[in-house]
Amino acid sequence: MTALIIDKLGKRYGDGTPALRDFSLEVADGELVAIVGPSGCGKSTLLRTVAGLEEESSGTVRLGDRVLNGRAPKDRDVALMFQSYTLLPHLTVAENLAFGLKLRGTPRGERAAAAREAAALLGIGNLMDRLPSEISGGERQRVALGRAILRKPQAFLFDEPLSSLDAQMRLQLRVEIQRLHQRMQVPMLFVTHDQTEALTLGDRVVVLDKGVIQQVAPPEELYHRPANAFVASFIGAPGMNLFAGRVSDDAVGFGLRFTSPALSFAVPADREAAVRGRGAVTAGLRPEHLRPAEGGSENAGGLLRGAVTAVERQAGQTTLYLEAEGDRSAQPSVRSVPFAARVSGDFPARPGELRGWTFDPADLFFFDAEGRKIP
Amino acid sequence: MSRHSFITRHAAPLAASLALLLLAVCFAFPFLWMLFAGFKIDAEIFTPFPILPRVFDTANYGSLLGGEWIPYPRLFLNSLFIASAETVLGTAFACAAGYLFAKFEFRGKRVLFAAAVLTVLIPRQVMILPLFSWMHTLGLLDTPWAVILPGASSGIGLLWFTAVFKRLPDGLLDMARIEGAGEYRVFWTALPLIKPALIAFALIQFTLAWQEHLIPLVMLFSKQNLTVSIGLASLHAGSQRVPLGLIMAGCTLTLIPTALFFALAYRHFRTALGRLTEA
Repeated sequence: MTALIIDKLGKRYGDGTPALRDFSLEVADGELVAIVGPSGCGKSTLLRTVAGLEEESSGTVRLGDRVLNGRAPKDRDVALMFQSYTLLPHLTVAENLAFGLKLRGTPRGERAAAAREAAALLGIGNLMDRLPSEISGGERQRVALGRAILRKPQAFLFDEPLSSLDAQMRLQLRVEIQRLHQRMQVPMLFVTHDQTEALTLGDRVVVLDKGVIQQVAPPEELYHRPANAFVASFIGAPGMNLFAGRVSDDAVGFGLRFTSPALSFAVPADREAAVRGRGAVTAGLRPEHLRPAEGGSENAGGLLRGAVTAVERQAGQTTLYLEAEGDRSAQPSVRSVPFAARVSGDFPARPGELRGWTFDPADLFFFDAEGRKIP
Repeated sequence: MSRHSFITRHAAPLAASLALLLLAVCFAFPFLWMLFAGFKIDAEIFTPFPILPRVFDTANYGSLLGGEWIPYPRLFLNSLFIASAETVLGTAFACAAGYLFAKFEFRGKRVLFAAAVLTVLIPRQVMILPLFSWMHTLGLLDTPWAVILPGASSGIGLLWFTAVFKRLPDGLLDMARIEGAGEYRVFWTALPLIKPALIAFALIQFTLAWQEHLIPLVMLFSKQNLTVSIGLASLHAGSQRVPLGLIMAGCTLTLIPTALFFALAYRHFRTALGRLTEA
């Protein structure tokens, strides 16, 4: 068993800005953990620090009981697959595949055999004598993948390896990485800014923002039980609609009421206890949980009306981007509240139209003033 | 076909070609004259036309290579050794230093870099005295090393290789580190990636070293130890009555190494300049 254990890892840049704060994570043998977050959230820094390309400011990284801190990248026995094409342009595919083994002094015959085996596994056996400039982007990344696996590393790191490929290639290589994940019993860390990649590949997913872990959970849980407003709005395409407002006693004394410039409703009875007395509260609704109201005028259940700003038609479904009228006293730039709704593919909608929406109160999420989810 | 398109399609390119041909002749003429003058006797030399000698007389080459005036073959070898050593050492130093400046952070980097740039701005004539005194202290005067060592440090080379390595993506170097290379091996892995730039710099370095006049003139004294450019210049000293054809023969032979190097490396030279100047 050689789990990858990252303990309270911290990284500051030269000017003191923190890139990573108290990052702790244990990746089990054979587990693939995907790390997702907006650009600049520290995810690549994390990988580079684990690989030894950058020095940590605090914390430890262990592989099994071997401490990796202070070791050169070459002595860590981890593989890293990069976003950019990292094949040496003057070497053939076969030589590129065997590059790592050559550096480690493996005899020529053994090297060639290992390269052939890896090439066959990835379906690039017919390209062995080509130069990198003579093969496609997808093939280049396959070669890079092959180079990384044939060395049989103790841990596997991926730094957005699919992001420079076109959509179809990306899908193919994603399947390839899934297969690899089944075969290789080593801890794997997969960094991406693409949540689809993270959710489809990861056994668990880490959501990272500003160098701090927001949530670590299996893909389904991230969607159904986001730990905070950031995760809620980040996961999902588009993410959860958030409405910042207040919870207060109803004027007529019929329980609690949530009020915000765009949306007001009576807090469901079973949630009253949780939100009572919190004051500032953010309500969240997923775009797929909004249902078009009849006629788009007065409607029951919920009260959310917005003008359509954009219509995005995809295969089988349509995403509407809308703007609800917000706080009239606010600055013009924040006077409207944007939200999105997911509807069936043939839903008739045109930009400029006013649409009303209802929702099931059971689908509501609440977050407190710090953005933490209220149970 | 209209008259206008006839002009743009045929006449204009033709005019351009003619103009270029004329320029080429202007540039080539002195070299051709030198080449043929080596086979002329002195009586013939001062009449520029016909450019071809009446008889191809190899007596000039004979007495040049026979060492009648200067030990030409020996000087040629001296120059070859000095220029080659300067090229190898100078390229190696500049390349390694450029890699360091482009890819690593270290204390005093900016100051050192500024100092290196300053050496480019200071003329050699200003440095020649201290250099002479150092070589004297080292006991290297009148040896090839008194020329090679000053020539092997190149501020321009440092600037050149810093620019070249800055353009090299870090991803490839990081890949080598991950795959198992130590830092020296990473540098070694990077070298083939900048081959055109290496060859281009070597070419410039060799040409400059081959032509260098001031430093060998100051550092070397014995007739046997001179470089070919100093030797040829000494022939022209008015007190001697060296046949002009013989000097021209010497110049022709002296051009061969740089011309050869240039012909072999020109392709890489162009690639390197292209890569460095593209946006």
